[in-house]
Amino acid sequence: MKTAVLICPGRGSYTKAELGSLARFPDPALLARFDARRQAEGQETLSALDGAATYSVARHTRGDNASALIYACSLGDAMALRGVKLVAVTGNSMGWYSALACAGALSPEAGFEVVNTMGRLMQEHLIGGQLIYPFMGPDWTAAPARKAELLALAYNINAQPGHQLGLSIDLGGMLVLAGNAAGLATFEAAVPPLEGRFPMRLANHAAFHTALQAPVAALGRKALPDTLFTRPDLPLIDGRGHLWWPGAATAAGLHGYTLGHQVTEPYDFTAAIRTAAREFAPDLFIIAGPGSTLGGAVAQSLILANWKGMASKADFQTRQATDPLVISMGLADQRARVAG
Amino acid sequence: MFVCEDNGIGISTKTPKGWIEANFAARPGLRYFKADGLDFYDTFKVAQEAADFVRRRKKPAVLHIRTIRLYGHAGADVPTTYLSREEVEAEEAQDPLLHMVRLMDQAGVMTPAQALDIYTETNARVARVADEVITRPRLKTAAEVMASIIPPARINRPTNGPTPEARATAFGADLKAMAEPQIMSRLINWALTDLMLEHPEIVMMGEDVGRKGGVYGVTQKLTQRFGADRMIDTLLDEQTILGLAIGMAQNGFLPMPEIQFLAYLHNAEDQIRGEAATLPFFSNGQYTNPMVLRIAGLGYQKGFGGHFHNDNSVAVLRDIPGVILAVPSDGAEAAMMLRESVRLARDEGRVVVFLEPIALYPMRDLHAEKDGGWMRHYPDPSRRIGFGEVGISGDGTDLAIVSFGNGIYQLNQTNREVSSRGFSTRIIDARWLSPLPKAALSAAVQGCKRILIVDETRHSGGVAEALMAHFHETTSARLARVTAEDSFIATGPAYAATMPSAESIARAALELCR
Repeated sequence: MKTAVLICPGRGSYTKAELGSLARFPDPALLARFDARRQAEGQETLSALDGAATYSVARHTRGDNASALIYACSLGDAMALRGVKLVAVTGNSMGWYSALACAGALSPEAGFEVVNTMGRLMQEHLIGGQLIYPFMGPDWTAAPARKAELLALAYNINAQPGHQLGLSIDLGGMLVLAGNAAGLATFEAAVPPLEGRFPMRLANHAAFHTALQAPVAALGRKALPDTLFTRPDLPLIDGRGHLWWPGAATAAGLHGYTLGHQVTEPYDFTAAIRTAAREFAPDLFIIAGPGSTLGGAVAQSLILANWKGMASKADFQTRQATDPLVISMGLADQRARVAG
Repeated sequence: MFVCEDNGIGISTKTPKGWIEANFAARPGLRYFKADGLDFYDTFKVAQEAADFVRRRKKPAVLHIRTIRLYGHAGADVPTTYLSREEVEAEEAQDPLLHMVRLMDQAGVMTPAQALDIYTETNARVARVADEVITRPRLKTAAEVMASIIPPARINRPTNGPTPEARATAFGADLKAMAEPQIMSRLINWALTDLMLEHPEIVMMGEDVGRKGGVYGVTQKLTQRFGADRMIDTLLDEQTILGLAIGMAQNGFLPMPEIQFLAYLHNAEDQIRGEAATLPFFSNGQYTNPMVLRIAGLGYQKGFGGHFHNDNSVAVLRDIPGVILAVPSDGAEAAMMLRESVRLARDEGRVVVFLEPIALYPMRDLHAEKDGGWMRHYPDPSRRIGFGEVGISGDGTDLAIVSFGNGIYQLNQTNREVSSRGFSTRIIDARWLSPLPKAALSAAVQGCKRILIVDETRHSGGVAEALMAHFHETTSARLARVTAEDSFIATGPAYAATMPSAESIARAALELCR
C-alpha cells in the first residue's frame, strides 16, 4: 500500500468551482451536527452555503463562512481516503486546524469549534490584509536572491512610519505578505506586475500570521480551552516544519502553538512540506480539497527541498506524467486514485 | 553544558572505573551532574536539572551519562577479541530501548506491543528515507571535495562607523600623537582601537592582554577603552584561549584571540587545525568560526627568551587548508594588513593568523642610532593592504630579493651595500605566507635575472622551500636562498647565530650576482 502525507489547504481554496462539494461528505450525520452548531451561533449552515445556486465572494470568502466550509471539505476528503497509508498530516495556514482534526488531535466536533470560532474572530476583527506575490520564475527554479530582495523590500517598507508589512506565509515559490493598508499599498506600488494578476490582494483576508493578530489569538485562547485537544493518532507537521509525534505531543503544547505562534508568527508552509518529504519520504503527497489551488505551492516546496532530484517545473511535470507524486483530491481524475 | 556519553570503553580499552566522575565531580567552578542512561526517567530529570542550572545560573556544568555500547565500536570491530563472550552478551542484554519499554509498560503508558509498532513503523520510515538519500549526488572530484574548505561570503549589515567624537574619546591623547611616526607595537594598538570602535562584535582574549596591556604593550589601554568583557584575561591555557574564540565565533562574535608567543601555540594547535579550520569544510559552509588569531613570534629578540619565547617555524600553520597566514614587516603595513585580516574574517568567514614579529615591535632605527628609519605614520583607517598583495620596493632587475617579517628589515639595512656594487635590486615583501600569493609574486619578479629568498624560518619545512619551488616552476631566473638552520633558538648572545643576518644576506646576494 502506498504511503502518503495529507496536506490540508487554507483560506482561498473554496472557489466557485467547489460549490456542491459537501454533497459527497462521507458522514451526513456529522455534517448535520456541524450545521446545528452553525444555526445555534446564528450563522448560515454549511449545507446552505455549499448548496447555494451562485457563488458570492462576499458570502463564501468571508472568514466566518470560508473557514468552516474549507474545514468540512478537507475533513470529508480525509475520511474518503482508500488504499493509502497516511504517515503524517500537515496543512497550510488555516489548514492547520483541519490537519489537527485529520490527525486526531481534535475530534471532528472539537475541530469544528476551533475553526468556526477562529474564523468568526478573524472576520469580526479583520485586522489588516494579505497579498500574494511570486518570487520564483515561471520555470520554478530556485530563486533565493529574488526572495531575499523582496523580503528586504518588505522589511524596509515596514520600517517606514505608519507602515506595517511582513511575511505572512512562506508558500513554496510565492510570498504571502501581510500588513496594514499603507504597507500593502506601498509594496504593490514598488513591485512589477506579473502574470497579469500579481501582486494579488486577497479579499476578506486579514493580516494572518503576524503580530497584528495578537488580540485575536488572546480571544481564541480564552474561548477555546486546551481540553479540546488530545494526543494525535498520526504525526503532525506544523507551520514551522516542526514534528508532533503521537506519543510525545501534549494537548497543552498543541493548544499553545495553535492559538499562539501559529496565529501571530509567519507560517512556513515550505518548511512543512520539506519536513514531510525528508522525514517521511512518502510515495504520495495528497492535497485534500476543497479545490486544487495548493498544488503549485506543494510542487515548488518539493523543488526547494531538492526532493527526488527535481529542480524545475519541467522536472516536476515529467514526474507527474509518469508516476504522480502530488495528488489533488479537488481534481476528479487524481481523486479517483486515492478515494472511494 | 558539557555532555559526556560514557559507555566505559574506548574501542578496546576500558576506562578505569569511576575515573571520569573522579575527574569532574569536584572541579572548582564546574557543576557535575550524573545520570543513568538506562533509566530514562533519571536521564530526563537530571538533564533538565543540568540545563536549568546552566541557563539560570549561567555557569558551566558537566552532564555525565552512563551509556552502554552495542555491536562493538564500529563495523569491523569484533569485541570478543578483547572482551569475554559473557561480558559482550551482558551488555547487549542492557539495550536501553528495551529498558524504556519495560519502564513504560510498568507505568501503564504503553504496552510492549504498542512499543513494537512504533519501532516497526520507524524502521519502515527510515528505510524509505534511506532509499531517497542513497540517490543524492556524491562528491567525486578533488575540486568538489575542496569546494567547502573556504566558507561562503556573508553580507554584513552596513554601519557608518564611529563618530569623530567617539574616536577622539577612545584615543584620548594618542590622537595627537598620530601626527608623528611610531613603532609597530603602537601602530598595531591604534589599529586595534579603530577596529574595535568600528566593530562592536570584536572581542579579544589571551594571556595578559587586558589589565597588563600585553607583555609587549601591544594591547595597552584597550580595557579602559572597551571594557573587560571585550578584553578577556584568560588563564594560562592556549586550548582555552582558542576554544573560547571558536565558541564565540560560532555565536556571531568576531574574536581576536592572542597567543602570547608562537612557541606556546603548539600544545593547542589542534584547535585551529582539527577544529576551526575543518568546521566549514565538513559542514559545507553551513557553520563557520571566523577569527583573527594574533600571534607574537619569530626570533631576533636580542638574547631574551631562548627557544621558549623565540620560535622560527610556521610550518604548522602553513599546511592547514583554508587558514590564512599574514606577517607584516613594518608598523604601517601591520595596521593595514590587520584591517584586511578582520575584513577577511567578517566578510568571508576566514580563519586568519596574524603573526607579529616581536623583534620589530619596538624597532625605531634602520641604519644609524636615532635615525627613526623603521618608524611609520599611522595610516588612515580606510587604508588596507589586500589579501594576496605583495610589497615591492625598487625596480631593479639584476636581483629580486623575496622575504618577509624580520627579513625585510634586514634587507633594508643591507640594500645599500648590494646596490653600491652596481647591482640593481628590488625587495619583495611576500606579506602573506599562506596561501602563498603566487600570482603576485610572479608578477613582482618579472624580468629579474636572479631571485634570492631570505627566510628566517628553518631550512627544512620553511617558507623558502615553497618559494624556491614556485620560482623554479614559473621563472628561469637563477635562484638561491638564505634560511635559518634546522635548530632551536639559543638564549643569550648567540640568539641570532642560527638565523640569517644582514651580513649573511649581503654575502648571499653578492654571491648570487657573481
